[in-house]
Amino acid sequence: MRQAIQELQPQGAKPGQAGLLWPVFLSALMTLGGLLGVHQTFGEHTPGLLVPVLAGLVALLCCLLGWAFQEKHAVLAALPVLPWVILFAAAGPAALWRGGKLWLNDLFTRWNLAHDGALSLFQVEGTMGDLLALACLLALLCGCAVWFFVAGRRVLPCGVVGGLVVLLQLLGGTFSPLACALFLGAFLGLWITRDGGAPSRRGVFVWLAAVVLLALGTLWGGSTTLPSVDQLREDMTQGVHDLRYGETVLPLGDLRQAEKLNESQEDMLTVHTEQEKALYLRGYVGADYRSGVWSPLANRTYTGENAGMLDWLHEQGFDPLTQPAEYYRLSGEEDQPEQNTRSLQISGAARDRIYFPASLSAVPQKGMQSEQDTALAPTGFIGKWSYEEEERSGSRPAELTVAEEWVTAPGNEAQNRYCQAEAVYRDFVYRTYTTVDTQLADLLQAMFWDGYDQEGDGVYRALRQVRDTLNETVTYTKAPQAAPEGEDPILWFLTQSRQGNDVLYASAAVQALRAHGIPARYAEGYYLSASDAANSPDGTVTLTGQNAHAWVEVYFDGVGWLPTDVTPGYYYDTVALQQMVGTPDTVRKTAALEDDQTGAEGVTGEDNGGSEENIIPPEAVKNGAIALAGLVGLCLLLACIVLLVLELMRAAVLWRLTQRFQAADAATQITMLEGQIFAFLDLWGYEASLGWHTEELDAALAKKFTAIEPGEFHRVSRLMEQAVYGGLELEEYETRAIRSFLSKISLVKPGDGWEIRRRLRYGWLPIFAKRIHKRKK
Amino acid sequence: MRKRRLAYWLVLAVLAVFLFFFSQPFFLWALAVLGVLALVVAVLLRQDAKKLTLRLEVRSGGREGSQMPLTIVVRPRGRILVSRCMEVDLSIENLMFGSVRSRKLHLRLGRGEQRYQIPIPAAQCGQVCLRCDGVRVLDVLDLFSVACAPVREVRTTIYPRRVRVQVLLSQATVGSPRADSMMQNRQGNDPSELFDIREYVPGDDIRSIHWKLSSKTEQLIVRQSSEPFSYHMALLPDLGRKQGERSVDQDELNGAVALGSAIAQGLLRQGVAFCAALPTAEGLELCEIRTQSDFARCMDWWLSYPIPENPGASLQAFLAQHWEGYFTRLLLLTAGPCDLDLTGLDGQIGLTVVSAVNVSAPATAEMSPTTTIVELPTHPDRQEAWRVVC
Repeated sequence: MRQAIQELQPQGAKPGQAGLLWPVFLSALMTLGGLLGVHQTFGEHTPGLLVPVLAGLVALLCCLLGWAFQEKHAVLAALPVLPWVILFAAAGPAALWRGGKLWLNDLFTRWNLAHDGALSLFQVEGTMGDLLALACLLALLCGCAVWFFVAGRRVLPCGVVGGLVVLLQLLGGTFSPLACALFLGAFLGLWITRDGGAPSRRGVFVWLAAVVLLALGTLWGGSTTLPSVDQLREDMTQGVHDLRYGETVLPLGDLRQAEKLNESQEDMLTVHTEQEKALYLRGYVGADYRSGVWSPLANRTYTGENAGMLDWLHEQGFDPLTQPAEYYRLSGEEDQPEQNTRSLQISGAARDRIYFPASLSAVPQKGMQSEQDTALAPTGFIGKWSYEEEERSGSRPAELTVAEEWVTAPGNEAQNRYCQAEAVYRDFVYRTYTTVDTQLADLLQAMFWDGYDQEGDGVYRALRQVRDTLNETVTYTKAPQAAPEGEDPILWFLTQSRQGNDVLYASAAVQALRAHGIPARYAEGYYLSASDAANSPDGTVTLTGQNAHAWVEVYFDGVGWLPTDVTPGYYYDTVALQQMVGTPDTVRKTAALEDDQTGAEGVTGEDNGGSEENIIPPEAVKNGAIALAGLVGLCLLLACIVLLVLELMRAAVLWRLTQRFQAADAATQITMLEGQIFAFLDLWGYEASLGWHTEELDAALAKKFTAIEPGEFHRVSRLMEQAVYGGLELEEYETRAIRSFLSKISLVKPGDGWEIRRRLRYGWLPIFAKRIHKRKK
Repeated sequence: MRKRRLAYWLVLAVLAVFLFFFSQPFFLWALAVLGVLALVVAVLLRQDAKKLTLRLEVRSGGREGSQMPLTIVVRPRGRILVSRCMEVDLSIENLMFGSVRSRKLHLRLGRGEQRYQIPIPAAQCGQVCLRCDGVRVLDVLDLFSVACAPVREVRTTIYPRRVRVQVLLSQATVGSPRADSMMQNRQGNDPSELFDIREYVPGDDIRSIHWKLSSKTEQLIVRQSSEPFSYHMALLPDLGRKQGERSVDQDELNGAVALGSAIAQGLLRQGVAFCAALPTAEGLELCEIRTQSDFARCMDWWLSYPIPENPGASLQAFLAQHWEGYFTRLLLLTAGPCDLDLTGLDGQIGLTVVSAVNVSAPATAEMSPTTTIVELPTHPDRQEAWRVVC
């Protein structure tokens, strides 16, 4: 059992007098630090510092006065409430509410900018006065909280709250080293006097030295970050990512690492396909080009006027990721291509993304989730090793795609719904996927579109124009030279080096098409050629690092995003394309599938229910999961309510007991203690009463409780008998002995199980109540 | 201490995490400052520990039931840099009762020599040994503790409280003492009996020179006379910490010692010399008590010897030595209701058994021709005066 430590002061020391000065000083320091930190969170809409500081100090002063004089004048205990009342009366709850929303909007905006977030903002119209009112509210909160921590020497809660405030500043990009230094200094001061009293001279000296050094630290660095730490963080994050998902060989939109695309010779994917046709397995999509890097659209693009658009589209049954397959499905059975079931196994490629074609039939619900309108990501901790997909597409290149007539004039309800949803999505695509880099706009216009005949313009002609221009201007190389620092890679590619690989070709083409007003985006992944599929004996093809590829995805109105290629060797020439137009689009099945008629009919047969049902999970499962989660939540809620009720009851009984105990005379107090002791003994399984079988019980208790010495219960019983039966008044030390015994059988000790803890906390209440009631009778 | 160190590490860890995720130079600085601070404090604390010495001071004796002030003196040899307090594990061992109590003290350090006083409750009589099992110095941040030089232990004696006892001597004699009775030969003034010889020291009475022996040796030898004395009464404390399954109450043991002390003083006031049979490591030993100084010496000896687990051993040793043949009266002192086997003494010696019991009932006495058994309630609150016939 841990021993209590007795604190001794030297003889002649005067305790207590300097005890108030130190906490007041610390509180003032911590309040200033807190107010400065909170003030920083207001960013550019700051309402000024003076008034909130005054408010904070007033709150602190009221708390101090209330604490210091509450024993003399009980009414002064309510003094800390006064500034709050004044603030609410002066500003009003409405102004505070508006101010709060404005402040949160500021925080959210900064967060969204700093971390590519998509937090929605509140709709509010407020004034600087509202912000000032909120600042005063936060200052009052700061002052009261600081006093609560410092007066009660609550070091751990103080540290936790302070850490959260610092974290808030860091996340919002408004970190103030001075505020942090003030807080740390005050926290250190609280630390050295956590046991109460004033610090010693030595303590003050050490503290002062630390505070001065911390203050000096605020002069270093300012708002810049440490490059070495940034690099370390990036390296470690990348390392963890690689450990989790495996290393990626794709440049992931970074044009300065374009040469990385086909460096590896390792096996990446093993694909089993049922049809002999080219497939572009999309792994990464870049929509936003900045400083030589293609990035997905920022999350904030899907907020504001686009907020909720994707959810609405899904409700309409429209998914941008499966739009082409849906288009084919609605086009009628004679026009729709056959469904192709593919299975994919990852061996060397990164597992943090799903490699799927633009013609995906449905998003598998298990283990995957959509990332906006561009990609699929696995939900597993280490990604996904293998999966099966259904896709529906023809064998013709995408540039030959012409939308059916029903796209402009829908013939049935399903087509009508599709067209309505597609119109909304198309509008979004044209607004977001046609922006051109300002540095390149003029060059692209001059290079690709000056002299372009607009007659009969369309995707096919525009794509041909881009291919022809690129063929004339640049040459293909697998390992292009990286652009120098400060130079835009596409600009360098088109004007200086004039050599590039798939990455640079695709990037230049995307920018060129956008300059012409055609929505396009950059895509990376793996390319499965028709010949590879045809040459495979069983339809299984292993794709290596050499099959990594970059291409252009173009939005075909009414149809969706389809892959097109501008890299030499990956597209058909004009003559071949014209020949294709004249012949029907038939897809050959792979050799394995042709041998197995049953298997082929199963795939291409009329009954698609089985496979589609496997892909589309039953709503019942989803609802069941929700119901189960709800049930679990309900149980947790009930448990919390029960716990709360028990705690309230316990607190009420304890409070009542304490009141009665303090008001009772000495004899009644002993009676109450006796009642509690036997209630606890009852709890431990000992049926006992005063004066009966004392010695046996004494021996049993000494054996059970290591803290109880032999003879102790006997002595306590004797004392209680004297008081209760004999009416003798006990000495103070005798009463203490009884209380000490009570504490030994009633307090939870480390190592006690949950059952014992529960009994000791709640189990004695009804037994004690019954005893008191019996005794009253 | 471990919790505080853990908390300090937690603060450093949080700063390190903030530094890692947000790369702010201030966190690196703060981490360095707090880390170096802890290191410097640890180093300076070791220096402080070498400078601090601690000493215990206590009165040589006290009374049972009162409080003994223990003074702890801390003396630094030089300026103390980073120490906040000294942590002392004080152990209070009562040699007679065999009880050990420990207390943990924190002595807040000031400037120069500091004295700290704590009251030690003297609930049990006997010799008390006060020692510091561990002395450590703690720093201002409460992160480190360094051991200091060991502290010499001090001892004090807690004497039993005063009990009002009037001793009456019985005229009856039981048994016949041996012809040689209990002769204690010790140094005295009777020249007819030789006690010892030694070399002549200038100033010795020349009449005490042993000429015969001196002629045989090269130096002068003087005689030391003896003073034989006969004792008829023996006081035999036979206490035990347990009586069967039951632990003997502390008050009963204290009461027995108090009664023994009171009876002994009562005998001395009446000029009755007696022997006290006290337990030693080698068994039972007889102490002559003729004067107050004899009594004080024997009392110190008795109070420093641990009370055995079970009573009866002293009585058995007394009987084994057949000492009942040397005395006419035996005063047997016990704690708790007497349950000793006294048949061995029947008819051999006049026996008075005085038992200290801790009951609220009045005193009882059982008398037979040769034996009187008296049970006296000796609760500290009871103020009666007793009359005991020995």
